[in-house]
Amino acid sequence: MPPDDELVPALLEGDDRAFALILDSWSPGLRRLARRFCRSDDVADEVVQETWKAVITGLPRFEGRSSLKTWVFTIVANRARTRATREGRTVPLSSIGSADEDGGLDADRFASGGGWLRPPSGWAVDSPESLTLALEGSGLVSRVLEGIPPMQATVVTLRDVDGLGSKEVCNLLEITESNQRVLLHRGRARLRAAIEEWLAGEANQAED
Amino acid sequence: MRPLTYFMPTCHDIYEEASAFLGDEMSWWRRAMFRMHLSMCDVCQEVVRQFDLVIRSAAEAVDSTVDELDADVRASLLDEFRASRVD
Repeated sequence: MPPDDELVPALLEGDDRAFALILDSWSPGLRRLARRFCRSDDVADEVVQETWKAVITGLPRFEGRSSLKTWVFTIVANRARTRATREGRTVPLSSIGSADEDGGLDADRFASGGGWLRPPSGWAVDSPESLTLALEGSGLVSRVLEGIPPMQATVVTLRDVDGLGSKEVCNLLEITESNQRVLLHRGRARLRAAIEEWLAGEANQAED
Repeated sequence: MRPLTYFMPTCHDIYEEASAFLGDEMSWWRRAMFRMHLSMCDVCQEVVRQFDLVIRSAAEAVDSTVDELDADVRASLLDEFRASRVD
């Protein structure tokens, strides 16, 4: 993706390849985000479509106070939230959870002094690429993100899949920085644990 | 004066703060203590490496093709874009 100072002028000049590029790159993330707020996938898709129309008409007024990507994601979040409120459906904030759980994250894996009780096994992958390859076709990450608390999944998705920054995610979801940090790390910890289990299963199968 | 080990994070602390460490959201002092723990603890070193791998492979591991725009919607938005730029 080109930087904003190339992208925005290209869009303003009517370069439809630039528009196709952002449309294709960001739409999956926008749909995922809209679905977090909306009652149905159809409504979420309507919100995404309206968002792109708003982007087209609003581009000349884009002031660059945030990145273009954040601006687009903010439009979708605001519209989806408005729509959800109008339909009497709001995302339950209780799903954020409290900042502290008893004894901390995955306390059962640690001794009372803070040392490992059940240490994780090492992974036989040496790069993000080889992990991606090992997980390919398993659908594991998507499945884990479906199964964990929605706010954790939303934060992990926005940060690690869509590549937004922490401040941007706080603004989009109207949560505090500390909540964002907790949600992000809990979500990542669930992902890591699920991958650990999955890789161990694969290794066992290979031995059989 | 307290020994340095007094300030050192435990394995559980490392596990809880791995994202902050990797995301560079940690004070220099905490970071130094964190690094010292890692230099002496192979398990935590591996766990932090695993968090890093998870973070850096998440985007690729999620299949975004299932969330692509409907082809007709995409075409109509592109048309709308083209029409909006014709003066």
